[in-house]
Amino acid sequence: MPRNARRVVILYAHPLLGEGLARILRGDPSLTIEAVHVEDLEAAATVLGDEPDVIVMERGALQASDLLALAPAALLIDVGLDGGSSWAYHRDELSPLPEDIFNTIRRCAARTRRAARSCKPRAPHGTAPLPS
Amino acid sequence: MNDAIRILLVDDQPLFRRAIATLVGDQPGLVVVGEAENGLQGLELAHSLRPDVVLLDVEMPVMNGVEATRRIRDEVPAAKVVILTVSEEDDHLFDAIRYGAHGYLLKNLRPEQLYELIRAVVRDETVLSPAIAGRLMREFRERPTGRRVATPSSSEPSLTRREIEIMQLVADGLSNKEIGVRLSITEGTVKNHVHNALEKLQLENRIQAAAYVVRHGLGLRLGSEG
Repeated sequence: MPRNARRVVILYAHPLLGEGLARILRGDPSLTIEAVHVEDLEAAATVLGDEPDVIVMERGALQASDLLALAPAALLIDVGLDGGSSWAYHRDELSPLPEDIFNTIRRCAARTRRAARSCKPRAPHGTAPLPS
Repeated sequence: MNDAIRILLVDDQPLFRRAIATLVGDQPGLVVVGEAENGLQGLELAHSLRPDVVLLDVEMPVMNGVEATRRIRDEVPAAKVVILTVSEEDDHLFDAIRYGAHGYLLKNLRPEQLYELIRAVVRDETVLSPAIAGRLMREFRERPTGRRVATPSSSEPSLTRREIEIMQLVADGLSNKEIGVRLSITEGTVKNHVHNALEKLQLENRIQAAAYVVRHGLGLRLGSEG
């Protein structure tokens, strides 16, 4: 296992989905994979507190915003059993200063479309908005 | 591996299909010979691949798992058909069993349980998730003796319980999203049920559906069932 392997945490409600994804991703030597059932709260807290790079969450299992509060640097990918789209979320911390917030609003408003398009296929740390 | 159990996966969720295919394919004595994303494709592959076991999702476009069960049991009788579904409350349990499904399992199984149940169904066992078995027992216990299970009469549209429940909420003015929250199911599932119900009632939209519910009182039918 390379020392700089990226840490991926999978939080699942359906073991066939979560363990299956883990099995697939473990074929990639650049990743370390931990798959945890969402009801195993102790294990989930441990893996989330260990600064994962990416969290894969089964849709509906937990709140995206809660997860990113626990692992602020992670990209969150939400996948579902229902066949709908999957989603990627990333959290950026802003200062409480009004100017910082307004500047961010203006900057994001100017580039949302392009950024949303560009972050999907390649850059894992994109700027998909987090639902409140 | 001449005697490996040959499995066909039929599910419209590609990620879940890939997950199961990877897990099952790694097991000694089990091999995934094909994957299909709807019931019709599954039926065609059942014909050409002659699998030992077909794992079938229920809610799928083009042809759902219940109709696929009927067709596969009819046309490829050597294949064992096992339904793999998200909820024990789905409406298709009795139809699938009547059409000859050999098993009815929930997707919340652990992988080792699924492997074992696949082997069991090939040994001619009937496989049911405990929650499914529980629902079967409950429904039979509560049903008056001699009464048949949820058989629609030919003169009225055969809405399932779930469809009736959802159409009543539609008539109450709830959106698909709100209905989903109310019933703890996804918006997509609600949409499927509404679509199916409208089709059965030969209605074009939700407003017609609301009028239909008010006029025909689906609530009375629901209340008098079971």
